[in-house]
Amino acid sequence: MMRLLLVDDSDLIRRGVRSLLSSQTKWEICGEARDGAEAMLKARELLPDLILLDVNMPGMSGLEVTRLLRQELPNAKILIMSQHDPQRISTSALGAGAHACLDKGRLYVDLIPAIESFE
Amino acid sequence: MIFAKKCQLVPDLPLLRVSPIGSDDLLPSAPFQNGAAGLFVAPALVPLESILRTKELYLLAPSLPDYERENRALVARVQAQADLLESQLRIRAEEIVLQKLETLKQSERLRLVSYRLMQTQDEERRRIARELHDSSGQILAALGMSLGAIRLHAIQSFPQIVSVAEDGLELVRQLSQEIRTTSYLLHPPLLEETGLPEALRWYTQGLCQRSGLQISLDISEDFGRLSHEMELVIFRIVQESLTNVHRHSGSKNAMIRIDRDSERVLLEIQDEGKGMPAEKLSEIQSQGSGVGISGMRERVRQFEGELSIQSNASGTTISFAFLIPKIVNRVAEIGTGSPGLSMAASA
Repeated sequence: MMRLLLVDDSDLIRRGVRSLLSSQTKWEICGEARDGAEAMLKARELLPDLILLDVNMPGMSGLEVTRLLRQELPNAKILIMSQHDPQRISTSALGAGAHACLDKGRLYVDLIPAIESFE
Repeated sequence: MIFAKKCQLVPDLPLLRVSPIGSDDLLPSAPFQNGAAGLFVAPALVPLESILRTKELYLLAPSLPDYERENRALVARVQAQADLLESQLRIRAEEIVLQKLETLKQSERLRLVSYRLMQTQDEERRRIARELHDSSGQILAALGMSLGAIRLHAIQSFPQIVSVAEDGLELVRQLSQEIRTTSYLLHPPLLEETGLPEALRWYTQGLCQRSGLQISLDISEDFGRLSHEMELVIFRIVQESLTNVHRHSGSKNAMIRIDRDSERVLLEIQDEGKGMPAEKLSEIQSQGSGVGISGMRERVRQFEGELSIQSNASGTTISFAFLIPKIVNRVAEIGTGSPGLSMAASA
């Protein structure tokens, strides 16, 4: 079973992702974090296969967290979520080591296929 | 009283004939005698019209008192009057200069107020844009995921409500799109992140789709960065001008050209519409005009820029020239021009 770490400072988004993935039995959300520092702690502790990461958080940005995660968990896949048009940040996100960039406004369509592509 | 070039006794009559002259020939001490010149006093009996009509004056020849003394007294009075007049004139001139200064100060104050108003408007737009985008956008994203979850569960257990969930998702998609567009129009985030060419490309493409207006944008890829204020001013001017083209010109096309060197930015917006009515054009050119144009003029003034408008039946062209603040120039030249640096430099 693929294990996911969900990182976003918005409770609404974390709850939304949880309910969207609730029908999927092949994946498990093994932990949640509200900012970059907590994300690093949880990632070290839980060793997730995939990290769903908000790009815009208080403190460390999602891109900085991505760079750190790439060093510490080189095998984990990183999916960046952005409230803005993802094209605007995809170059820097992929450059930082993320595997894909998703538009938060379209997660209900794009999230499940994106996670499936890493299975 | 008259200044005379020449005086002459009229034979057989107690009259003195004098020819008027300019004051430069004044000889105030001239005695009353034939051929003399000087300042003479006309008794009240002599009608002034005769001076105007004939350029000559007939004076009654009275039994002559001490004209020389009277002349001196008169000259002194005239001089005193002249001094008084002169000092009154000087005071008035000073008052006018002060009034002019006060008017200048007031128009400067007005300009400052309108500049601050525009700044406040920009800040407010930015705040609303962020609020709309981040807060409402986030809620909608969460709503989309809830509906998405309902749809997925419904596929397994309640196929009859799948289409209802999908309708809801379509509404979420449309609303998200609208919120994003409105937010970006209020404050274009690309402008700060990537600069003018990208932000203008995004804006003109969107306007093409929304309005059907065909817009060509001519701006070099390596246009480089300007201070954030200047980039925002140029973006807003293009926005305002294209809105005018779309609303008023009837043109199907609009051409935008932006060019720069190290000192200036030139911006031109052209349409092929019906042109402005002559009345409106002269009103605009005489600087009294609608909020849109005077807003642009004020924005241009921030950068010691110039605005000119040509309009006839085959279209309108608005041209702008801005001076790039020197320090920003230098920062751009050494290639370290971050928006933050430029902002600080131009502030």
